Amino acid sequence: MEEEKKVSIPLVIGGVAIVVVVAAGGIFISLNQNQSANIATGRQLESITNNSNTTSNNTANMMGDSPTMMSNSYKDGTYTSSGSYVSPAGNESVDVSITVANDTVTGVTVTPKATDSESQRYQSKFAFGISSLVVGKKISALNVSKVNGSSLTSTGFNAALAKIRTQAQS
Amino acid sequence: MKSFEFEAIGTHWFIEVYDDIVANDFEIILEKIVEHCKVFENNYSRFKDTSLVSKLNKDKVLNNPSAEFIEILELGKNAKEITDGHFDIAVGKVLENKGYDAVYSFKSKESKIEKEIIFSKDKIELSENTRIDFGGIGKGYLIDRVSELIMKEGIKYFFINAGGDIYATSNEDEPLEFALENPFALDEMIGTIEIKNKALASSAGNRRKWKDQKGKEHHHLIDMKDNKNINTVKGIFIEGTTTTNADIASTCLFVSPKEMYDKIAKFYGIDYLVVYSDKSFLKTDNYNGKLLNT
Repeated sequence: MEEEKKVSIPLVIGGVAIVVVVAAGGIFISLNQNQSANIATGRQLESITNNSNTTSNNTANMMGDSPTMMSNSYKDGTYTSSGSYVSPAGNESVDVSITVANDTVTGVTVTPKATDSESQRYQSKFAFGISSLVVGKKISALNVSKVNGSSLTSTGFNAALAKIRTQAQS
Repeated sequence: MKSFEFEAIGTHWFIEVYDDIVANDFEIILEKIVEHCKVFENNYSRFKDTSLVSKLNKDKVLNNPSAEFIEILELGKNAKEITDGHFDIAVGKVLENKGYDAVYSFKSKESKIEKEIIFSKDKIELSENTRIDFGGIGKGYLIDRVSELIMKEGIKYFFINAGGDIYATSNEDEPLEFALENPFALDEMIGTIEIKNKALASSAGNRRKWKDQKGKEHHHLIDMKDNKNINTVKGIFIEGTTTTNADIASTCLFVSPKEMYDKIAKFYGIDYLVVYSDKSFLKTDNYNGKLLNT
């Protein structure tokens, strides 16, 4: 019996719960409208379904070789798929992208698709979920002169604030 | 590669040059740059009593303003229009009321706010309770002027970083890579971005924040339509063609509702990454930054 690995990542898009389930031998993404998480296993990667019986649009592809669906493990790579569901606001569609490395899902991004094609150039994408959270790592190795941020923005301000704090303590 | 650092307009500046130039020559250029920045600060800082901005805020009228002053006012006017008033250079008195004043009192007070600015090339007038501040415009604008000064001297390959806002040409036509500072932890990055002949800007509400005498917390980024601080956005990163546009767009996005982002981005021709307090983020397709988690 192969080892069972299950990771359940609940994501919420405006009242619609999305559950990503990873199990040995199968990756399944389920979009549930206004109901609790639906856990399913043993389904193929590209299936995105919707329990509310709305359109399911399976357009999975893999960057690189085709995934070996029937084997016990998946090839490393990024798998993308899109699906649609009915929200209170009407038909919505999302792109789901999963990154797999060593049989483990290392990244999940759920991206609502723009309905307005006119402003495609500047269309923003809202990334949801655990793996789409901003993560950081130390920049000590990096030259401080090459940081786009605002920590150095106001030396004058910081000096003044430090002074005020000292005054407040005395 | 030669690098230079100095302090101006209340922030730290780095200039790195990749052209093969004699150090002495750059020293001379650097003197011009520092002088230019000093004049700029003396003209437009709300924190200098004798500046043109302070005089205007006090006297409510300024005759024969420079073309540059008018240009910056125009930039402010455009930003107010495109954000439907969420961004407004008439923010001066709001900041003062929050205690972010010339003496850094950090004591809040109540006083009437007005936003009336009338200007022509001959004259600038403010209504009695209007005070202006060039935060959100001044730094980006100045970086572009410094960059022009450098190019005029025949230097092609360089970057300028003024307190995290950047203009970069290239390193002998190779793009330059910058770290994107983690808005949740100063000593971390959340990714990197490669640029060539482009500008980067960013805004974060947690860098300049203070508590007033009642213990209430304030920061310097104000939604002027509703006179409030914005707390859901943690940090904004902009990629644009000029630092002026990148800097203004950064502040405009920070103080405006999400629905206006694309309109603002289009107007300024910029791409953005917005990081929210819950660590989720929103970005345009063409934003070139590479985040660590994707």
